[in-house]
Amino acid sequence: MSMNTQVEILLVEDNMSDAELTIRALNKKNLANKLVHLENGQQALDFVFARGNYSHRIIADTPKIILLDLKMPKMDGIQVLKEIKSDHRTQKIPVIVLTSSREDPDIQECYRLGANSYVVKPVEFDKFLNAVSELGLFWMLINQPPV
Amino acid sequence: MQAYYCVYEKYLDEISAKARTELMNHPVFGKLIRDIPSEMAEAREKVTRELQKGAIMQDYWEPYINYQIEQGIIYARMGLSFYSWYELVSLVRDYILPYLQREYGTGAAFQTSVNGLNNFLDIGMCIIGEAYVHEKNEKIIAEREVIQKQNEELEQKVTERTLRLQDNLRQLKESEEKYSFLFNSMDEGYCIIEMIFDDKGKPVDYRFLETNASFENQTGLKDANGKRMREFAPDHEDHWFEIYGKVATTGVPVRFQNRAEQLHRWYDVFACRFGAPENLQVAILFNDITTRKKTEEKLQEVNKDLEAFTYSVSHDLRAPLRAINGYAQMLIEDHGPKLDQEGRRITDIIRNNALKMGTLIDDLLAFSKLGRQEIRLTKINMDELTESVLKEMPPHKAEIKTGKLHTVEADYSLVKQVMINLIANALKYSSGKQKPVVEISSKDVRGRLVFTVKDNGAGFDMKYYDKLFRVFQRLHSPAEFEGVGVGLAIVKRIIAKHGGKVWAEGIENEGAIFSFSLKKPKINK
Repeated sequence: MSMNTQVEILLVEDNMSDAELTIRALNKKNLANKLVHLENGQQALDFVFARGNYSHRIIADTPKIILLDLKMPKMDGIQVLKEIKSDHRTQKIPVIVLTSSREDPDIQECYRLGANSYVVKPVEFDKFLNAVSELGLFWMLINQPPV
Repeated sequence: MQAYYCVYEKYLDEISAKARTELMNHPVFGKLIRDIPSEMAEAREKVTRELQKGAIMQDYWEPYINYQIEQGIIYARMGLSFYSWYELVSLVRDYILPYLQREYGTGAAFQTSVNGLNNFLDIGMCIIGEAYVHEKNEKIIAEREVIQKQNEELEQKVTERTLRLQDNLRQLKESEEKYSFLFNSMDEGYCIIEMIFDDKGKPVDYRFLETNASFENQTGLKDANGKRMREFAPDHEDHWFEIYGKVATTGVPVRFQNRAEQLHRWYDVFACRFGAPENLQVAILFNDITTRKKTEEKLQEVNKDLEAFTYSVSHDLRAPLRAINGYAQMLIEDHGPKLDQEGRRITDIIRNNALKMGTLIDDLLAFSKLGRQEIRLTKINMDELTESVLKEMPPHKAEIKTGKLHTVEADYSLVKQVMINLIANALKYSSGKQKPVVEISSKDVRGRLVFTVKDNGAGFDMKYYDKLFRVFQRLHSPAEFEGVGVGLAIVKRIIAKHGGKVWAEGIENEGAIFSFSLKKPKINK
């Protein structure tokens, strides 16, 4: 494991447009150079726990933060969050939940499960950009968890 | 006649005793009385026996002489006497009358009776002297009249009371019939139970003492009277016994809803103590609400589905909007220089509309959420609330006039939303005026607090009034004033949730007055 191979951001997002917008936002703040984008929950868990297609990875080589979309087909964000936060090897990874609505009843559930923060994906691109990059910066730079 | 008997009874013994003593010592009559022939004695005994058996009437055997001094003997009845008629008459005429006249004077009238059946002649005598009797008479009559009057009054009272009592009895009977009819014809189940406690004082069962006609229908329990609940449902939930046990011991009535698993029913129950505390009896009025509960459960499910649907819709509608807006911006950022002015104008329009639709979805979501939100009442200082709302408003040039506002009891965040919407509207619609003025005031109108936000702006035509508070209805085009038409619908829904009313007055191009009413708090500062 070297600092060079460590993924800084794991983005789990099934909507390709949202993913592109998110990556663009992070790019503008120079945060996206070590970013992995996965399109569903199963892939995300395989990645984090070094299973299946990612069995070559090491679990201890955790991403610095996970940006997790809640609403995904098949395995949704809640389930991914639950598994990550209930395993002592991965529970310290900061998870930022991405949601479409402030009114989402799942937000409370996410906090209960140990989510560190949430971002409402606003329609307005600028706001989205700011929110994502600020939060990304916050968790990556200021609130860096002990490894 | 009454007077006669009175005097007679009063004086007879006194007069007779004295007269009898003298008579016994009389040389002729004394002998007559003392020496009764033996056949007479036998006859006397015979008559006495007959008399005791009731075989003969006293009137017919008793010798009787009625004598008035001035007219001589006017009536004499011999009857069954041991003495001859002559002997009796002479006794009266020759001895008794002279005796009475000697004693009481010749002016008096006398009534005498001579009873020959006793051991010796029993002579009853009395004076019925006119004046004497008259005087007595008047007094006695007066007394009697008083007594009679009292008697009549008493009788009247007794009659009245009896009638009243009968009336009460009839009413009681009618009322009992009415209640028993009510209890047996009403839909609700009714029963009286007697609690059964174990030796530790824990209520473990109860016995049905009385049930009404609907009872069976409401519970499915047949012939419950006299039986215990555990006989029907051994696993009947403990809380039923606990609740009724508490009612029986404390006497505090309860109303509650509960499920009886073994009866497969839900009940709405009112229970209160029945009779003396030591009887430990409880009267229960109840209703089977199983159908209602099932409907409620279904409704909750539907509501939940609807909620999930709303979020899902809002989520799914936003994603494409985000893409439209985001990519339009990307186009400007990355390829802006290649676009001419018209190209940039079109991209702006695309972005603006995507943003507007985003707001629309947010408002719609907020509006639908209002329907489910529970209101939490707190005391609200409306002066402070209005001040904070005004601070949050975007910059404007309007003059704001606020008076002292009443304190209300309402949900803080909801009432704040109402004020935000009304004040924002007033500022928005008056922004085109040279000197916009917004006035905020409140007054107490017959126990209800009415808050008013008044502006001198664009106003509206009263003929479109019915569209004013409807969701997505607008009276102005977005070009004139932006907005999506949810604000006033939200105001109406919030105030309606508080039990208040919303109304408005408007004159086109002159201004609008929006008012809402809220209940006055019980203790108003």
